[in-house]
Amino acid sequence: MIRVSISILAVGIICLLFLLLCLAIYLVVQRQAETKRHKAINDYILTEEKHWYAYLTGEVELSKKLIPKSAYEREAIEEIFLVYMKNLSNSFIKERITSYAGKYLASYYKQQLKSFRSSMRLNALYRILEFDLMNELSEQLKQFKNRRLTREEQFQFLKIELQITSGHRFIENMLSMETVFSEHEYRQLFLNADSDVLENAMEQFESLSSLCKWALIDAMGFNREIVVLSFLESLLDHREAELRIKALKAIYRIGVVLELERYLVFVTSTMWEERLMIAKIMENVPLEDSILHLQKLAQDESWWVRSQAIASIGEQKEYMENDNNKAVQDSWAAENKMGEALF
Amino acid sequence: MNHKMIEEKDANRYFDLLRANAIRSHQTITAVFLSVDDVTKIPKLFLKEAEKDVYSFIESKIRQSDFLFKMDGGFKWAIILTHSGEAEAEAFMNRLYNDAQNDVNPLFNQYDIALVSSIAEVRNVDFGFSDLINAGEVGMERALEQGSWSMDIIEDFNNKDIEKVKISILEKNDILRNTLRTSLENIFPDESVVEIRTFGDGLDFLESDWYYSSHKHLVIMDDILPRKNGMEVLNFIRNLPNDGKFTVFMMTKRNAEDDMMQAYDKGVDEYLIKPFNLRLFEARIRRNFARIWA
Repeated sequence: MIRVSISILAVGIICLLFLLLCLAIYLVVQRQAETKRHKAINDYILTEEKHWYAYLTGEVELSKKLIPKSAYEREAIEEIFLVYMKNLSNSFIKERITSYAGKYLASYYKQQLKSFRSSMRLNALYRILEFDLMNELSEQLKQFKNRRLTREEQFQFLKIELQITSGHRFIENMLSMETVFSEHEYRQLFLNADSDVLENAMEQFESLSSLCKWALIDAMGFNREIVVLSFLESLLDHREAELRIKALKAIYRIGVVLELERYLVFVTSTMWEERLMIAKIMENVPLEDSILHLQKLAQDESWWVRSQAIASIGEQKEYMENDNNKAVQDSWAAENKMGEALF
Repeated sequence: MNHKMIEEKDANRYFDLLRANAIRSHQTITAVFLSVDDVTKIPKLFLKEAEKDVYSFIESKIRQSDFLFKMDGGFKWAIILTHSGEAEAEAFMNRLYNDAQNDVNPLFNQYDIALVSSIAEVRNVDFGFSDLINAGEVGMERALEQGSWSMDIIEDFNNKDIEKVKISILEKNDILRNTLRTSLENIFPDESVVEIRTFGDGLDFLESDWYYSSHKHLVIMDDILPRKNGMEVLNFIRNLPNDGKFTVFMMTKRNAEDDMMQAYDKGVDEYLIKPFNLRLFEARIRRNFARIWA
């Protein structure tokens, strides 16, 4: 049993209480400072947003009133700029924001890039990208790259590089990074990439990590560009099942099937995911060409495949009912009976 | 179909009804006054018959929605053309003149008589029936001075009362909401003509009584709002009995075709994908108002 005298215990309790009190006072003071900061920012926005509207839309030229004189004003201006950049697409407004940021905010971001605090550096990177200051701060960005960066900083830097480097160099830079990003992050990059970057990514496809490959294929599907169709079809023979499934999904999204024969091997695939995707793809194929395969898939062991096959038939029901081809109509009638039996 | 000839003394209440309906439904009506240029060319014995004949001829040319009546004083008639403006009335009169001259009704060539007319587009309620009739008479006299088969245009009644319109902006971001408001205030500085209100969420809008009136109402809203999102607000207003007064602009970040089709099916009139061009937005707003105030 530990013996502690009451006086020592009392001192300990008093010290702890004192620490708690200090912490509480610190939190209250911080909270008040934060509230004061928010109020100052909101007051500035309320007072000046019409002047900013007039300047950014070209009604008036820049007045001294709009040059920031404090940290609150700078933060308020950033907030206004961010809303305009995210919601309005006028090139004139964007040019005014970039021009203003280049003159009056860039020096602040230069300082921020040198900060010891990662959050400050990251914030600066966000603003540089959002306000299109890459040219203005190109030297600082080159130096910044040589630092030891956190994962978030690396990702944000990649987003910046996407805007300023050629496709070939961007992919090389991405491959040279030790950090592995998530599939979602890679997808964000590829969704914002131009055709140059995507072409280079396709050329160096086998050098990419698995997550990167999946993200690239997903992005191609979202973009729905027919030019990548042949590349996606070349992946249908890939040894990795996940790549084949992703490629099928992307082809489905693009919505074009050039040679059905290429895909028929998936009707009898051992993987239900592949059979499901081919059932989906057949929505985009005339029923007279796909009906026999869909009938087969409608009897699949997997419920998902069966219901997708029937849904794909249903999509083209109207076509069927108007078609004069008796053989096709007979197939449809048989399918109807089968569908009723299944469900 | 021949109906009983309506006299001028009975036409007043029909005119008031047609005018009120037209203004309420944002349509235009036009009054056309016709008379024969020289009645003395018709033998007295055949005057009554000739007058009926011309009335029947005119009646055969008008639409079922138009209203024809006989004016006081003989061989004078007036037509209220519904859903028609001045240009359409002129075209109608030209066709009528052509038919009269091409022997569709032989009366005109038989007695060598012609018609003259005056046309008055009606766009407001600031005058009485008798003012219109007097103006029509004066117009016909002016037309007569110009010669047979001529038309006089009366412009005394075509000033349209500007209808007040309401605009609601539903957007959660304060800065964007106020930016849109400023943009619209620059287009429509007169609050008595266009009244603008802003809301931070759908629930505030629906709980207000702002949308109750019969005024034309333009609603500009984001699809994502804190309480009652854009689609819920859209669904509510499209289920109101007078939902025709609403024009809905939906702002969204979603640019998938399926989302757009769904939005249009549910009653969205214009789809704005963020980021959108502010000048283009303003042009679309002005176009909408031109239709409302046409």
